[in-house]
Amino acid sequence: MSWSFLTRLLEEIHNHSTFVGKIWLSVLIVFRIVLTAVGGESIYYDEQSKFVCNTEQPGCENVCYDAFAPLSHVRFWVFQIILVATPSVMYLGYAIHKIARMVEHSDTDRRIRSKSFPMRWKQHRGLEEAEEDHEEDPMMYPEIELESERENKEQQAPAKAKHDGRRRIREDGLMKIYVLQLLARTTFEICFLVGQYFLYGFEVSPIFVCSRKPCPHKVDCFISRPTEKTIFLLIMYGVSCMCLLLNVWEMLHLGFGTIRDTLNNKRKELEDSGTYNYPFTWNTPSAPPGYNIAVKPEQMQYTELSNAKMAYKQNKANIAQEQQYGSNEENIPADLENLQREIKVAQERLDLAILAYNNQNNPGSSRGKKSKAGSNKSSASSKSGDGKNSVWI
Amino acid sequence: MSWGFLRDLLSGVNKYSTGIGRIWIAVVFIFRLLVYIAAAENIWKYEHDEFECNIKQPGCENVCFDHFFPVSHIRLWALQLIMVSTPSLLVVFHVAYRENREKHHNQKLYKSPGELDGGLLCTYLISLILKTGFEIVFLVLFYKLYNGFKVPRLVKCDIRPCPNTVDCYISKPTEKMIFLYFLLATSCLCIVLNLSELSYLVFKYSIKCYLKRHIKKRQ
Repeated sequence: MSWSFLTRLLEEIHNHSTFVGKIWLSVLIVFRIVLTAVGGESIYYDEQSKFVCNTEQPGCENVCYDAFAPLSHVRFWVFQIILVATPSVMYLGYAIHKIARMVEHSDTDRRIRSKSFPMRWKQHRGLEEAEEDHEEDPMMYPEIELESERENKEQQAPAKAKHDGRRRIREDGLMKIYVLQLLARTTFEICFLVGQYFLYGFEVSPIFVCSRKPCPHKVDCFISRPTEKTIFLLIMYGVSCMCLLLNVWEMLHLGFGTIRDTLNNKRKELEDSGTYNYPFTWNTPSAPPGYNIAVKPEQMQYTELSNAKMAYKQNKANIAQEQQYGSNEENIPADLENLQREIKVAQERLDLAILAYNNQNNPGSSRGKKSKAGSNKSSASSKSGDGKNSVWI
Repeated sequence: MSWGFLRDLLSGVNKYSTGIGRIWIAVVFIFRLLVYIAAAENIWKYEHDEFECNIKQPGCENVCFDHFFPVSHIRLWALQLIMVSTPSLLVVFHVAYRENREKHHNQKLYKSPGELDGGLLCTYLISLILKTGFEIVFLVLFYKLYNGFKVPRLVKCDIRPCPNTVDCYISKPTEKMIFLYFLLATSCLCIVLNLSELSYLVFKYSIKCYLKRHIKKRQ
């Protein structure tokens, strides 16, 4: 019996599961498929030829065998494996289809967005700059085309990469279907466990008493290897229960994880909403976005991560401001190059702030860094302050 | 019978093992798995068909065969192989869990997820102990079920429906005995490898801890 097709399919499913899902898959493959293949083929191959009845009546053995085993154990287990793996296979198909569509959409979106940039800038330019358009346009379009090509290549790489893990599944909008397939799997497991109990019980008895026509009277029929079959039956019960427990664990894992993540997301949203308040307080006199950070380095504990986060938030806020107040020509960069220069300047100022903080706390160890700070300062000197406490970012 | 997946799993285990662990994997692959597939399976293939009793009573052979071989040798061998290979998966799962955590926190939490230190070392030692335990359990089972590793040529049976004490003859007893002794030898070799790897790891890490503490005391 060739199992390679199913195992290859299960490998693909492996790339689209959570951590517990992967354990379930390994258990399925190692214990169920291997055991069924090992036990099934070798124990049950002679189950009908060695089924002997104490009678010479032709046809009696066939009829009694059919009464004893309407569905053989091996076929039942194979059916069980296939049905239990089917929800995962369907989820796989759906996930691949959806991810492929997402990749297409994001590509077309990016192309539309990049095409509309020059349109928007042309609206905001004054008539005086119209003469320069012809020289600057050829500069812009090639840049945008190069960028979109690069992004295409980047998009193709992630499409082939794994979409596994709870986070990734939720990001891709597949959580509902994942939970559905998990529930279907659990239902099938329970149904098969119950069915196995009603069909076979917990034991295979060595003697089967049969009195179907054409058997002349009650006949003793003897089953081949009943003890071995009993042991395998009990092992398969155990493996089914283990798979059921793994399904339950995965549901709990998803449940708790999702609750934790939604709580974390709520907290992050509350933090983020603080930075985006700046555009609404534009008219009231207040410090520019970076002032507070530069002025209170002693009070806050800085790590590289929190610095980078704050710089990122400031950059986001700056860009948000610039996009919202589009009519204000002072704030909009004339073209893409200016925008990139602004970001570079912002990052240099951030570096200065870090150096300033380090200088304050470790005056002895920063001698080597002072020369670097000096060169940085000279490049950004036109826009920075005295570099110590009040750096405008 | 497709053993390909077991091969793939074991080669994943190979990455995270010590030197002795790799020798163990090689022994399991070549001396146990390969021998099982290439030779042993065929010897036991028709054991029931070739089991003959000196009687015409229908059903007597079945019952006698079932009494003398509740679980066939070859099935125990296969179960032993599966159970002994499975604890190595614990190590693979633990490494995958570590990589998952690193991805989740977006930080480098470990020197390298596959390196044997801390929790992974504990998992590795536990898997070694489990492997050794399974080997010993199966060897004891073999011994208890079949009264040692001998395969008799003739067995006497008088279970219902056999009308009297019947002589039953087992097919290929000598060949089966040779392969059972081979199984015993490779199991013992694997137990020795596991125990030596266990003691080597324990020794190495206790020396490391001792040296660290010694250096700290000096400082």
